[in-house]
Amino acid sequence: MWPQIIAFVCMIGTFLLVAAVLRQPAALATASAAVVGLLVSGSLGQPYHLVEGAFGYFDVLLIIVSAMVFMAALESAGILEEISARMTQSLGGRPLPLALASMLLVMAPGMLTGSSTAAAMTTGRFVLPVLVEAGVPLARAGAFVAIGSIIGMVAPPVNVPVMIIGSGIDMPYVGFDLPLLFVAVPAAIIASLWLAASIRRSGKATAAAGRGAARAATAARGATAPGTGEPLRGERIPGAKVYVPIVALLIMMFGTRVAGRAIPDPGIPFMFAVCAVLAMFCGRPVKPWSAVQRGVDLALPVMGVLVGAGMFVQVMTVTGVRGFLVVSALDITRSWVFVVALIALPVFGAISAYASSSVMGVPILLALLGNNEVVTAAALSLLAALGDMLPPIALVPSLIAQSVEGGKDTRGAILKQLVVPGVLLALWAFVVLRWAPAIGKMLG
Amino acid sequence: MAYLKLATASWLTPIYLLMVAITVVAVVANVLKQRKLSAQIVGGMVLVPLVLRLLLVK
Repeated sequence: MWPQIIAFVCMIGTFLLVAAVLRQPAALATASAAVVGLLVSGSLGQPYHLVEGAFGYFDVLLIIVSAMVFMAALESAGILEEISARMTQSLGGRPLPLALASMLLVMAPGMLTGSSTAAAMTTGRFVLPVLVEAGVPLARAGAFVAIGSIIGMVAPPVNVPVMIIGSGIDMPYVGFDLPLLFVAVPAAIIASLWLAASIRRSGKATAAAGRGAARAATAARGATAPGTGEPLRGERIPGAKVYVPIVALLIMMFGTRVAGRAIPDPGIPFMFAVCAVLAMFCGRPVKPWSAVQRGVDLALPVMGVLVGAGMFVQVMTVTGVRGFLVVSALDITRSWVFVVALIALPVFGAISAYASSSVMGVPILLALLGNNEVVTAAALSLLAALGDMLPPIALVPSLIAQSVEGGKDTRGAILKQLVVPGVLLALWAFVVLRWAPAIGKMLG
Repeated sequence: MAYLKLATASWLTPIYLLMVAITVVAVVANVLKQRKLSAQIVGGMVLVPLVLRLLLVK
């Protein structure tokens, strides 16, 4: 047992040292921890374990890169900007519909890519100025976008933490749509009510919000399109063609599920790739290679974390640390496992939600076998995702703060606004986790 | 010859290989334009599984 404990402590210590003290990317931290794990266990002569581990999340890697390219194509073609402008123009005078539409818009990229970063860096940046224009204080608007990004990451159809947890216990990513909707939708509605109350209080929820929506959405992008350097033209895109790529994606995703084996499933990356090509013809002219590069640039940090997390988990398995964690988790009294999940997943997720899903999520799910694993994994994914808004890294609030003036001060203010909603989200995840069997029965 | 046989095993395989190849080129372009060493290392890490899968080694 002691060799496993020593290896585990060294790996976690390296991880924290590289990520929190040296402030290096989470991908490097997980990979460094894997190398140290091999070194401590005397297996440094077996570097092929690192390569083996790098393939651990290859499917997820392809989904993320293709989804990011799709989002980049939508952004470069001006489709995201156009849709957000249309939504807010028609809903500007009505706080609750405006809040709900904003929430849906922020969540969409997270739902499609399984990454809160994608949501915060794409539609999040369009929605933020629109909300400020509607009278919401900047910090609260930023907090709302952060919450939307987190909930989007958890909502179906793509939930990467669940995929990671599932791959750890050989559970296929099937039948998660309803449980994930059950976790995400109430949280999204309550967050929207919270924002609508803010808009009402400000008394500015008038048509001004609608009139200023397109201008605000355009201003959010700066003078040039991000990444591509193409100047913004600001002109509107007429007609319904802006909806074509998104509708095509939904038809492909749900069509293959409804049709069963009648239509061969080409895989999610293929669907995103086809719709990315479609997006390039449904908006303003786009330079295809610029959109691909922009998408890959956005995806690379997340892809790095997945490769690093794969190495980390592989070395944990080789050294026996993973088995030790599973056995230890099984030894904990069942009622305490819920408390451990409530604390450990978000805290570990503060460094990387994906790494937290892998390192903490898998043993906790094993300790809770028989507790309706599908609903349990859905709740655990929300707990892990919450880590993306926790200090010291506070990934999502930091990204949102970067997109507005006075970034550092804004980050602190956003974090203050996130305390109560963050605690409520964690409690909601705890409730779903604790009563997972009953919820599973209810959902059929 | 063995590579071609594997690469055309199904109608989807060449399409996915093309997607992986485009991703590899984009990641290499990203690594070359990065100034920070840590970002270059992360790019290199990501390239390992992508290149091996593109070559159908693993």
